Amino acid sequence: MHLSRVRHDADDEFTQFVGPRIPRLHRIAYQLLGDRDRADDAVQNALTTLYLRWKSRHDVHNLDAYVHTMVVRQCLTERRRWWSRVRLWDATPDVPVASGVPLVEQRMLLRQALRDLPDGQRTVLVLRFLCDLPVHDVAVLLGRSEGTVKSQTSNGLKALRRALGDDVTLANIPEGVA
Amino acid sequence: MNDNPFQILVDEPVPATRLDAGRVLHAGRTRVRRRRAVTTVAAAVAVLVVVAGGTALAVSRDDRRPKPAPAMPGPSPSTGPVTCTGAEVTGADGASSIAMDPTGQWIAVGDQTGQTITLLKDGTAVRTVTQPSVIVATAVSAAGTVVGYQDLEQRQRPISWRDGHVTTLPLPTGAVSGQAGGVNVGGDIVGVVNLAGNQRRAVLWRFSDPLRPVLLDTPSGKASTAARISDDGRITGAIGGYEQPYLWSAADGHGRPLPVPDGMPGGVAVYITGEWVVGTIDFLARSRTLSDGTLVGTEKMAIARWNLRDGTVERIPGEYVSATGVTRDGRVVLFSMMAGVQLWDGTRVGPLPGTSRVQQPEGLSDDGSVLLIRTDRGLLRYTCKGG
Repeated sequence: MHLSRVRHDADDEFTQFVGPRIPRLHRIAYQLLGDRDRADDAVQNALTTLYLRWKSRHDVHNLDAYVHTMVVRQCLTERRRWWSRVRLWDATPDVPVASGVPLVEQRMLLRQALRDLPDGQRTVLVLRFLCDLPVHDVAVLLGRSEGTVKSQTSNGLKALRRALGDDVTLANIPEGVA
Repeated sequence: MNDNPFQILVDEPVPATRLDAGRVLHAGRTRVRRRRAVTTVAAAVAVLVVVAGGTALAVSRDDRRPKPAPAMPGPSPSTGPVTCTGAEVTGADGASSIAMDPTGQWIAVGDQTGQTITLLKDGTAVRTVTQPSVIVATAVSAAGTVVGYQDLEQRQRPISWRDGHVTTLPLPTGAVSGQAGGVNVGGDIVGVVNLAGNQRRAVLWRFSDPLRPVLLDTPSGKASTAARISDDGRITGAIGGYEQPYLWSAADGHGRPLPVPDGMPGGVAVYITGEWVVGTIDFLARSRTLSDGTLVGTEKMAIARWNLRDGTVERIPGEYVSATGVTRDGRVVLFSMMAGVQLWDGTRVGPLPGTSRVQQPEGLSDDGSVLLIRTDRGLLRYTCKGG
């Protein structure tokens, strides 16, 4: 088979793979970064790297989980760069305009309370509950032990409940998970 | 019953993505082509011993004050079109932090892990530091001093890195964390510290007395933020949650509000070069106060340029993700997600020749001759002529 044909087939396969997944990956990135443009940026960077490694895709056991992790890593990198690029509006992530709907206000309060947490606790909570990553994956991503991830989860949730008081009620997570 | 404590955020509608598979594929193909064209030369780097702790600063004397780099040429008298050519900064793919000094000679780049920073001079790595936790470079001076912050015991601590030594800057009494964000050629450093109760305050570490950080004058009960410091000691920033752009003097720590256009209150002054300052305005209209008193934004910011010589301010047309700096003759480089790298020359905004829509500016030299741009494949150092 001609080399260019192989390339086109691989490109088609790549397009078919990433196309349907972009909205979900964007959602994950948005939850981590709080801004549509930065989320797009992170997803594009991660998927461009995936493209470069596309010929090795069959070596990956769970490609979806692999891509998911790539996007999260890219977002964590983006967050560290806030001062150089983002500080003009670092206090102003895209958030829904208040509509008088209690749920909107609760979301704003929860996001603000999250921002006020120490960086370690905030990152662990976002990865676990907004990106739906298990303790093991969060520990690997952040280079921490599973015990540390669990204690940061527990301490972070306690701090959030203290900060939110009666304004927002957070569901209890099952025993032993935190 | 759902046991996700953040279910209300999980259910929250998020803005639609502007990405599609075609755009990603195009970016991937472009990156493959460029990779093939680039010959990578491994740069030798020296790994230096890191000394942490504020005591290292105790021996600082004025005779050790960083010397400024040789004066850069002034703005070109040419009025022709701007042309820029880019060269890859090796080893900067996936950089976690990027900062460039006002001359364009020095660039600090954090690696993908966020734990190593490399300092380059004229594109060549001259120094590297690796730390056990995340370290972030936020600014570099024309003397090659890097400032930023480091994660220590789950708190951010301001740091400076000079002559191979990383020094944790002391916090003022009552502060629990902080970040250094600007440094001038004389080694004076500015940033923010968080006091107990999570109130931000603008802070100055004078080179002559670094063990005694100075909280900059702030109206009673307000928060404040310091962004950058010019070589002559003027400090940009804001009062409150970006309620008022502000300018302080490092000499006495006193400050004054910068004007904003009628009907556009709020904002923050950031970049300062000569008599020009660039930052955001109209912040209050683009934000709202929650029931707990917190200010949050709802839209992109409007960018403004202040002329300190005549005290005027003007809004730059359009809305942007960020501004990257201002030159001595008042030109501003901007970034728009849809339009890419833009140049405002004081009268009109247009794309910067030689750059593309997917590139993002990261640094601008005072004379406009060097522009640092992040692309989907790494970092490019552009040298520009004309204008």
